[in-house]
Amino acid sequence: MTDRRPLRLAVLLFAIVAALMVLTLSGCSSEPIVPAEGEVTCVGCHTDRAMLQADLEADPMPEKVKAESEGEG
Amino acid sequence: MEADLAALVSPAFFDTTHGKMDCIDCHGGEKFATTRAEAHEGMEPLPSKSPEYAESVCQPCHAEIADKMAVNMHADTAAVSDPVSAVVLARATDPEIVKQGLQNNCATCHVSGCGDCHVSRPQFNDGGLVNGHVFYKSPNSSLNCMGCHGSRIQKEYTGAGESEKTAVLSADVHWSPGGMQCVDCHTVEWMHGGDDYDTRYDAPAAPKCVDCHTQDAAFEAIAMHAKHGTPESDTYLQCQVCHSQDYNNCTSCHVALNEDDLPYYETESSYFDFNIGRNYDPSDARPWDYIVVRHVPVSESTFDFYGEGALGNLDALPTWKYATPHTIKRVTRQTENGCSSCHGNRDLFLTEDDLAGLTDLERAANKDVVVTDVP
Repeated sequence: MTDRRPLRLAVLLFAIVAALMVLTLSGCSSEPIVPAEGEVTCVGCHTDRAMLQADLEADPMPEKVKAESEGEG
Repeated sequence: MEADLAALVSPAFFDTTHGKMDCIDCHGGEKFATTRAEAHEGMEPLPSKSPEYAESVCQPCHAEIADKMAVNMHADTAAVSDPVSAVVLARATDPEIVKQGLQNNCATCHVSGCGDCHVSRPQFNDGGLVNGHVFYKSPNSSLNCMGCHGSRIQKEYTGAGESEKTAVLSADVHWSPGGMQCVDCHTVEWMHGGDDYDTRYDAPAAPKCVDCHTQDAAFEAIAMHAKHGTPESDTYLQCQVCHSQDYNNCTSCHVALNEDDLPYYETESSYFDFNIGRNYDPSDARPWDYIVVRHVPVSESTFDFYGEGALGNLDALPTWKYATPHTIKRVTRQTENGCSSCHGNRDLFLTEDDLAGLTDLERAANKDVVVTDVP
């Protein structure tokens, strides 16, 4: 009986290398999926009212400039 | 609305279809950042912003709506502000001056995208998420519709107006006790549009009283309906002639730019009143002999800031115009005393007395509306 273990190992290694190449070429391997230390996500900030309040207190939104109208429009 | 609440996303949002998507799929911006400025770089807070509905982020999933929304009157306000088809241009003797005013002062009211009705308060009213970014199919009457339609519709529909002629104005019966929301009459077919028409009243899906109140035997069993409420009547009346309370009228709106070139307007007065006029423009959709008329805020000097005398054809259209007030009630001052409520009651009709003090041009504008022989 022929020992097929080396062949199976070679196929497995080839599959791993191919998968890594696909990920690299598609750019997925370089896209972080978790924030680095000190970074926040959209969801992390916009679901945390205290964080939004603190951020807006430190850096208020610019006021919208409107002309005053009189009467009902 | 506080700025933090305006942008606060609820946990419930992430259980919805839209909540399964990545924020940047619709809004752009940076997925991870250390500062607000960095996170919001390239970010679009209003990704469904008009007039690019057909290219908006909503289009790939909601093509049937997005592809036709750009011609909807909520999207382009053409009848109000378009340099070619705005209704007021019919009154213009110097269209170029009027177009300047339209561009600067009147083209600002269209909705700011799908989100104005389906996720946030209207941007016209400074925006802010309604339900933590959870999308909803039917706009909220108070927070969405009345966020823009506040001066006429909200006051009329909720009974918030005051009239010198009626001691107490009630809410429209459809609102209270009816509990009917705006979208119950102003259906999605009309709101999302796609049909070509000149004014809102010409829209095929525009609401009509008879959509619910059919003119059947039970309807005609009411003596007043038999007398005035069917096409076979000798004198056919728009439903509101009997069933509308006083409604809002405005006079003499002037538009201008301030010292910083920001647009503003000044309206001379607003008041609740009620007037029956002759139907100056009968059609299959508006076959009545008498209608209720509302004074609209146009005057000869509306665009004087941009150049005097631009509306020299003010009389091309009436200034008391066909109206569909949101002040409906079964018993009104037109019905409470039977026939004598109206017949011989000059105060309910638009007469020469109401035109006293107006310019010759405005008097001429209403010659087909004024009731000369009060029935």
